[in-house]
Amino acid sequence: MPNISKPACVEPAEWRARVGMVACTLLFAALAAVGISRAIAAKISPADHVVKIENMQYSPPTLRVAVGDRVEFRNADLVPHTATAKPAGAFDSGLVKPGESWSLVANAAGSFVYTCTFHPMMAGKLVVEDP
Amino acid sequence: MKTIQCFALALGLLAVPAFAQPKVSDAQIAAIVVAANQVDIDAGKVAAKKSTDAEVKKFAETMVTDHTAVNKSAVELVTKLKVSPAENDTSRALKAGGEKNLAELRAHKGKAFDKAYVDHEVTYHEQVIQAIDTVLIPNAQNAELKALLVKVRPAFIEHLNHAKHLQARLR
Repeated sequence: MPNISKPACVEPAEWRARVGMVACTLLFAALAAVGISRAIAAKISPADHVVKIENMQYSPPTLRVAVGDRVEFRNADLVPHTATAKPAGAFDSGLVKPGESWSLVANAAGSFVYTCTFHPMMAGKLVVEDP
Repeated sequence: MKTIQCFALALGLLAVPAFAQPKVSDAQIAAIVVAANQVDIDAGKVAAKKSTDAEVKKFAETMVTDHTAVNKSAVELVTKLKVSPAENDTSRALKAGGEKNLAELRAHKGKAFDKAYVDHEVTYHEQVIQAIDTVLIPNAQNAELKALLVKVRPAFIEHLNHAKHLQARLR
């Protein structure tokens, strides 16, 4: 009986390998796309944060934000307060009346301790990170 | 009698057991709160003008601002609740003590003034906080009045801590 050679087709093992490689490539591309779009989103749509001033405290006492984010200091207390960086310079809300707010945009990375100029026993910390 | 002892007596009147004296009414609580704040506003105004120490001056200005704000909230609330503050032995004694304190402060000057003012602020805030905790909050009938007293308390604690910090420095 003459030798009949097998037709030239893809072996099952090699097929699985090819499918696997394509799947991995597609997954990587998808993840990269998501990662890139999130980075773009972070740069073009900064987040908003609130520090509530109540019971003679800043809440949360330490807030971490990204450069470009907005921070609103909301006075929910009965008495006026400030949010004043110390040493002086980085930011100063001035007097914020009960029921009123003051906002800043975090323009530079850094760690900023702040207090109320009327109530120096109060302390807060704002940490601004690169996105 | 020393002024601060007058305040202790005034606020101590509130601590008499219920069976010996009627409970403090919301109207009486309102009068006590307003009188207690006014004592500190008046003392703060004198100290803001007279003190030669920058931190004591700033503290005094804060006392005026804060106690004025608390009185504003208290008066707005009792007006809304249609409660007329009812003068009573304690509110009258507080006012009398306040006048005596002002006379004593006027007799001092320089560092002696600053020390007298701050010492008084420490003891006064301790007494007021004790009255808030043991009499005013427990006896407040109206929920909003009680909530206001609870909300005010942290401010008085901060004032006390701030005054103690100054007192330590002026020793």
